[in-house]
Amino acid sequence: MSDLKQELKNKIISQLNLEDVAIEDFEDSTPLFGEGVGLDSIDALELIVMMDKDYGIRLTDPKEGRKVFESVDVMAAYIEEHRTK
Amino acid sequence: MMGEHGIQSWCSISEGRVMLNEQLLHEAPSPDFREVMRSTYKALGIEHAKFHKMDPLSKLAFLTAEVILGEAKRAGSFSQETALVFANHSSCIDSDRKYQQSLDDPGNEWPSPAVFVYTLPNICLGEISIRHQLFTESCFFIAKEFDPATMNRYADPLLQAGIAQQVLCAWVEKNDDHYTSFAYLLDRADPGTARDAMLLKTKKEQ
Amino acid sequence: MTKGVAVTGMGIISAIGCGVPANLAALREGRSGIGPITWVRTHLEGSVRVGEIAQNDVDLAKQLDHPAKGPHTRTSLLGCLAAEEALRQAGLMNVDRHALGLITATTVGGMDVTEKYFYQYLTSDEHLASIDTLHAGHTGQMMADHLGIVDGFVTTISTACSSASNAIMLGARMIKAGMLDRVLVGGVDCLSKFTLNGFNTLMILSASQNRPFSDDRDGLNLGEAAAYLVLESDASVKARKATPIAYVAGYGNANDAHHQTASSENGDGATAAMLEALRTAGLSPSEIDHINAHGTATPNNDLSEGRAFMRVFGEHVPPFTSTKPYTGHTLAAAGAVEAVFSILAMQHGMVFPTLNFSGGMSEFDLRPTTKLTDMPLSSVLSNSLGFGGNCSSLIIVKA
Repeated sequence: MSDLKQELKNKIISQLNLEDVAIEDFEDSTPLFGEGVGLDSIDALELIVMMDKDYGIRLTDPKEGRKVFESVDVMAAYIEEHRTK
Repeated sequence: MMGEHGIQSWCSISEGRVMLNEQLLHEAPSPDFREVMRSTYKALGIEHAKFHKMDPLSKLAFLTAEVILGEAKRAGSFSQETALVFANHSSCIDSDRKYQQSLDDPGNEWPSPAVFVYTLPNICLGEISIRHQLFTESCFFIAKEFDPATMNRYADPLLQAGIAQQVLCAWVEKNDDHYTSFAYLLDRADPGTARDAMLLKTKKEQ
Repeated sequence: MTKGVAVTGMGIISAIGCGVPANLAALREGRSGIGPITWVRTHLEGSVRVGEIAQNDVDLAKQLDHPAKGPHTRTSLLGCLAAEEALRQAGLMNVDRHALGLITATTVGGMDVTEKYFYQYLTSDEHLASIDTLHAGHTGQMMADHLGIVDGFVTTISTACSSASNAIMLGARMIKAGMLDRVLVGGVDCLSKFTLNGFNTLMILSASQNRPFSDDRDGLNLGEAAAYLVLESDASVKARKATPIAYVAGYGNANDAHHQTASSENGDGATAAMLEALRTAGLSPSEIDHINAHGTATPNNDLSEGRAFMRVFGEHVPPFTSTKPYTGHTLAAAGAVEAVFSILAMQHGMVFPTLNFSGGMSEFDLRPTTKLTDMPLSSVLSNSLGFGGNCSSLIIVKA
C-alpha cells in the first residue's frame, strides 16, 4: 500500500504540473483540494482520467470523484479496493 | 497610423530576453522557451501556483502582462479598468497539437482535460484577468501578422468612450520552437504623445 | 444614429434547418434538432447526442450559389451558406463588394479536416495542403474569397462561446465610428472529434437532451451552425433604400476573472456585460422585453447566469428562454445564431420555449418560458458567456 501511495504522490506532482511541490512537502493525509495541496476542479478531472487509464477505475460522477480524491490515503484505499489493472 | 492615445510603456519577450521600455529586464540562461519561462517567473518574484499548469501560450501572455502591468503597479499608474486586446497568428496551436496527440494516439486514446482547457487562444486573457482582477473587456484576434494599426482601431474607441482607462495591446505568438511577445499599454489620460507605429514595429522586430 | 446599427439581412444553418424560414418553423413547432452523431467518426457515437446539421459536406457544397473553389472545410462551407443567405436578404448579392467587410468567428476552423489526417501528415504528402485550413483566419479568407470580398476589412475573432457576439459588437462599433459602411458579422463552428472528446473530459456533456434551467439538468449538447447578419450604416441604408429588419442597440463585454472554464458563483462577468449593454443602448432593465439566455444547461452556467439576471433585473426578470435545446451549443456561432433567433422573436411577436424543461431550480424562483408564447417584443437581450471568462451581451431592438 505504501508503494502505491508513493506512486500516487509522484503522479500527482508530475501529471498535475505541481512544479514547486516536492514529494516530502505533503503527507498522505493532507487534503488534496482547497487549503492542503491546492488542487482545483480541472485537476480533479485529470485524476479521473488517471484512475481509468492507470487503474481501470471509471468514475462517472465528478462529485464522487471529489470524495475519492480527499487525500492520498483515501485514494490509495479506494484504488486497492476497486482496481482492475 | 498610430492611435490617438499615448503609450505608457511597452515590453517584449523574445530570444530569451525580457525588455521593458528601453531596458533589458532579464536575460534567460538560454533562449529555450521553458528556460525563459521558468527563469523569468523566478526573476519577477511571482508567486502564482497555477502558472505551472498553464500552457505555453498562456505562460508567455501571463508573463508579458506581468512585466508591463507589474511596472504600472510599481509606478502607481495601474488601472483596474484595463481592457485587453490581444492577437496572434497561430492561435493556441501548441495545445491543439498536444491535445490531438492525447486524443489520437492509436490504442492509447486518453484526451486530457487539463490540455483541452487551453485549446482556445483567449484562455490567456482569462488567466491575466484572474491574476490582476480585471473585469474589463477583452478580445483575441487571429491575424496574419502583428499590426498595431488594427489593434488601435479596436483600442482607441474603448478609451474614447471611457469603457476602459487603459488598454493592454499585445501580440503573443507561440508555435513549437518559435515564440515572441510584444505588448504596449495605452492610456486614456495621455493626450497623445504617441510614438510612431513604425517605430514600435521596428522595436518588436529587433 | 437612431435606434442603433441597422441589420439588413440575416442567414443561418443549424441543426433545425438550412435557412431562416426552416429555423423559424422548427422554433414555432418545438422541434429540437438534437439527435445521434452521424458525420463525425468517434467512439462517443452511442453515448452523446448533438445538434448536427443534416447535410454532409458534399450536399452543403451543392447548395452554394456558385461552386466552391479551393480547400474548403465543413466550417467554411457552412459559413459561406449562411453568409450567402444574409447577403441575399439584404439585397447585396450583385452589389460591388468593395465596401463590404467581414468579421467572422470560429474556434474549430479546419479542425474537422486536419484531425482526420493528423497522423497521415507524418507519413504521406497526400493531404499536406489541408494543413493550411486549420488556421482560424483561413476560414474567414475562404469565405471572403467565395463571397467576392476582395479588399474589404476581414478579420477573425476567437474568444470561445462569445466569439460571434464579439464579432457583431465589433461590426456595430466600426459602423458607428464610420470605419465601415457595411459588414457581415457572425460566426461558425462544425462538430469535430476534438471538441466532442474535449467537452466529454470536462464532464459537462448531457447524457441525453440538454434541459436549461431545470433542477436536474446534467450538461450541454454540442451543436454545429453558422449564422451571419449584415450590418449597415444609416447612410448606406438610405442610399440603397434598404429595409432594416432590426437594430443592434447595445453591447457589452466583460471578463469574469474567475476560472478558465467555469463561471463565478454570482455571474460577475455576465452581470457586468449585461449592464454595459444596457448602458450603451441607453435602456433601463425594465425596457428589456425578453432575454435569450446563454443557458447551456450545465449545472454551473445556469446557476451563475440566473443569479446574474437577478442582479441586473432585480425582482423583474423579463421572460427568458434558452434555445440551446433546439440547436445545441454551437460554440463560436452561438452569439449569431441566437441573434437571428432574437430577431425572429421580435418580427413574429413570440417567445420561443425552453424545451425539455423538467422542473425549476431549487436555488431561485426563476423559471424560463416553456411554451410558445405570443408577446409583442421591442427589445431582446442575448447572452453568450465563453470560456476564458469572456462574457458578452447584445441588445437588439425591433425595426
